[in-house]
Amino acid sequence: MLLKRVVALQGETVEFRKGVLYVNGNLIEEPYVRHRSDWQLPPRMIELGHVYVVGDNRGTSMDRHRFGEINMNRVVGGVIP
Amino acid sequence: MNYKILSFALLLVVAGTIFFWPNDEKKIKGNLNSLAKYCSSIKEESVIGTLQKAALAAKLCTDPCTVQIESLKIDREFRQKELTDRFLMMKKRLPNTGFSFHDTVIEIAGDDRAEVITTLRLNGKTIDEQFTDAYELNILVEKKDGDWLFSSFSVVEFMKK
Repeated sequence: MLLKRVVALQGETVEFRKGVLYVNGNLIEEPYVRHRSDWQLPPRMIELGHVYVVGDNRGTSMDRHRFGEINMNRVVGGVIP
Repeated sequence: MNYKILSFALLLVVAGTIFFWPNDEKKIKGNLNSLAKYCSSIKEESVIGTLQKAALAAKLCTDPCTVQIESLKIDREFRQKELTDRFLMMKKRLPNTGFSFHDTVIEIAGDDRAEVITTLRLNGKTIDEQFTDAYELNILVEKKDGDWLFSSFSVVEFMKK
């Protein structure tokens, strides 16, 4: 089981520019991010029934970090803050 | 009175025997724990120790054993000797890294086959910081001469960047 943050929902467009997250073209402030990286990811639209998840610790290279679009049926629960 | 105590003691013994009896699921889980232990590298592990652990890890697998890791474009059978070499390389590449299996589900499919779905977690330390990595694995297990051996490892790639 993995613990990741949902950053974009179905139908939204997600993108990384020099490590900064953009959803639907809008910059997303992410104060919780540790070790910001320089990830570059071209815009991509999230499929129906899917969400986009990323971990908060982004110090590793994009290749090594495990994040991305997943089917909603893989989500087993949320975290109570 | 004595009869009651004797009955209770007997019941405890039976319950204890059932609970601790090494069934197939417990044996497979035990092998997973051994695999995690052999793959983990602790500080100042001797060369001989590393070699022994790599060989013991490979001995928990069938000969050959299939490995599928889509992201690394690996999808083929590995002979035991090659598996030993790979375990050795992995341990060299990941010093000070602990392997552990979590959320393990074991399904026994007949007398000599089982399927395991589990999360492999790596906890390690690079030069300057701590890291954690996790992978979902599908593992096939086969019973050979009474021993449960891993016959296939497949990394489940469910995230699309």
